[in-house]
Amino acid sequence: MASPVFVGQFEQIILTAVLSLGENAYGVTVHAKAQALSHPKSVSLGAVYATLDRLEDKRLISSWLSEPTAERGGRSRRHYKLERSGEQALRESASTAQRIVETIAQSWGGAAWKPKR
Amino acid sequence: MEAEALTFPSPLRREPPALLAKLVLYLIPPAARESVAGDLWELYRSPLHYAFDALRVLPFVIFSQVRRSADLPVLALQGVLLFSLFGIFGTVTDAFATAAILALLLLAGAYRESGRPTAQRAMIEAVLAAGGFAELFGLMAAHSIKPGWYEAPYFAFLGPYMVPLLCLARTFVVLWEDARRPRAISKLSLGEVRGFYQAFEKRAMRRNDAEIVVLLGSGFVLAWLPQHPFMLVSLCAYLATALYLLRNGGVRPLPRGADFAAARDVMQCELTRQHRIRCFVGWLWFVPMMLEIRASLAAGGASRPLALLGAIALLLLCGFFVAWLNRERQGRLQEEIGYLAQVQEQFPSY
Repeated sequence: MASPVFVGQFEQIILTAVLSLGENAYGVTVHAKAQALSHPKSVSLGAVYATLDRLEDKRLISSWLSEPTAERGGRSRRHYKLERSGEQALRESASTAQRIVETIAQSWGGAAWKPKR
Repeated sequence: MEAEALTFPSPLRREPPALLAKLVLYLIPPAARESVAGDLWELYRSPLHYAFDALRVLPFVIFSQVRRSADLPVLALQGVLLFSLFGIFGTVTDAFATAAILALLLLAGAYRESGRPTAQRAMIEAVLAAGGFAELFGLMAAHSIKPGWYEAPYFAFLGPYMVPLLCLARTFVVLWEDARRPRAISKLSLGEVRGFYQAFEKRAMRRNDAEIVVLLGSGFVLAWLPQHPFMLVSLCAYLATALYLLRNGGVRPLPRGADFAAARDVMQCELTRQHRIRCFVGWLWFVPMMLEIRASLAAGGASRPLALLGAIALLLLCGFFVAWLNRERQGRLQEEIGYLAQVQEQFPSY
């Protein structure tokens, strides 16, 4: 069995964005989704590119270029999709986050605290 | 209001000014150019906003491409080499000069076009490099340097003879690599992937064994040469690399029970790792020669500025030679990895 890949919080956000966008995951849409996910913090488009590159190097996502389109000045989109190892990493991160939420809820009392949406 | 806005065309221009778009395009490293330029175009609102977006995105994109293209062991080797070559100016200046050149090399790596150059481009580059070198020799001849200067064996070998040789070698390698370009296969079975992997494993093992023998042999020869600190550094580097190849140079075997995707993934990783080893060893072969040139310069080169210039040109030419060989391999590796990524599993028919 392959050793688990550890991903940071921002990487988790980008992986989640790529997962939720499905076939429409490319720079601009991933940035918009990451912005929504990390609200109220703002996310820079450059940081999104750097993280997408890093996740691709870790083989958690893969990318391909689409056909050029006129609304992009005849340039292609680089689309991203989650690889199996990416899904695995995201699942592990989600489990950890779930355990953290449950532990905090137990300590502070379920009724007194609920994570912000 | 909304209907009005839809009916009347906006007076604002919906695409960036051509000159600004072109400038931004050239500032984006080639590997990210297509997608990042398109995204910025899509987000365009005004020239100022476009320029601001580009300025905010560029440092991240450049840094990311620098990180992706950097090969740390090779960079460290180049750093040591540069530092020892600069050893004529004084330690602090040497360190600054080394750091500046390494930074330039990193940037150049980020802006290098991915893939292999075409035969035409390769020939132009070789002719330019060799032409510059020949020009330098012409200058030296014009200044009638003392004939004794040409007696050193490396100048005799890499001097005027190197010009046509380099052009021919470069063109030949590009054409040869073109001819053995991997066949585009769309489907493979798991058994076939395993077969390819085993063949690659054997090839890498043979190559590593041969390199270990040659490294140890070269180390033995270096140990017999007149000793000076730089040669001792080369000797240690050769022995350390031979030891590394012996212990970790082999290709990792495929995990038991690996499915198609896992086997393909391991093969892509191992292809990249072997390529990095070859790049490092490629640079390592030239270390003693470069250090020898530097040592002879230190022994009396400062009093002959043209000889110093010639030796620097020679070193640059050696660097060019190793760099293009590595670039060829890198391009071929990218092609192989790209083909592998596209290959789908072919289920055996029952």
